[in-house]
Amino acid sequence: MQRRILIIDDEDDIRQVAALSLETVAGWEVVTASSGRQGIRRAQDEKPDAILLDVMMPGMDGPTTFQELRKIPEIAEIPVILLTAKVQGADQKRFANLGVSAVLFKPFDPLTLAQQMSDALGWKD
Amino acid sequence: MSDPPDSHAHDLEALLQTLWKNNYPTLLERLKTLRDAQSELATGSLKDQTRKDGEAAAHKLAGVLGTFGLPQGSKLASKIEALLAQETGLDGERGRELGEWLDELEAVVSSKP
Repeated sequence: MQRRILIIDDEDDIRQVAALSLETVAGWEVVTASSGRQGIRRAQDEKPDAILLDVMMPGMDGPTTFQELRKIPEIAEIPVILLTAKVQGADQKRFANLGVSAVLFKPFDPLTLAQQMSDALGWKD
Repeated sequence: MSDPPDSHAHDLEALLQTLWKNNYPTLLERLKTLRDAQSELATGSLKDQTRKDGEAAAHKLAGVLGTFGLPQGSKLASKIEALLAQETGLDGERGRELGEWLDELEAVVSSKP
C-alpha cells in the first residue's frame, strides 16, 4: 500500500538517508521538514500516514514537537515514531511516558528502516 | 513492502554512496570540531562552548556513521559524546583518551571510499 511518511530531522544527512531508504525499499512517498515548527506545518498540509521524528533538534525538540502535534485535532491521531541516538535509561522512560507509537534508534539500517516502522505501527502491507 | 529487501539492496547501496560523497564535507567539519575540542583540552584551555560544540558534533556523527555502514564510527563517536558531555573533570588524561578515540574515528571515516 502506498504510504506517505513525514520525516522531521534537522540533520540533512540523516533526513536524506531515511528518505532514500523509505522511498527505495518500501516505495513510500516521503515528505520532509528540518525543524519541529516546519514539521507541524507539513503535517497539517500533507496529512501523512506516520511521522518519523528526531528527538534532538535545536529550537523545538522532538518531544515538544510531538506534544504540539497532539494539540491539533486534524493531525492529533497521526502515529509518531521517535528517532534518537540517545539511549540512556532516563531518556527511555521519558519517551515511553510521552505516548509515541515507538522509539527507533540511530544509527538505523537503511535496508530495514521501513520494515521496522511497519512492525512498530502494525502495518501488514 | 512486497518485494524482498535484497532486491533493493544494490540500488540503495549505490544511492547511499552518492549521499556519502555529498555529505562528506559536513562529516569532515564535524571531525574538525572534535579536533578543536581535543586541541583545547590538550592545552588545558577547553572553553565550554567548544566542549558543547564538540558534544553536538559527536552526537551527530554517532547517529549517522552507522547508517552509512560504519558502526565502529558510531561507537567511537558515542564515547566521545559521553566524554565531552562532562562539564567537569576533563583533565589531561581525558584529553589523551579523546585524542586516541579521535585518531581512530578519523581512520574509520577515511577508510570508506
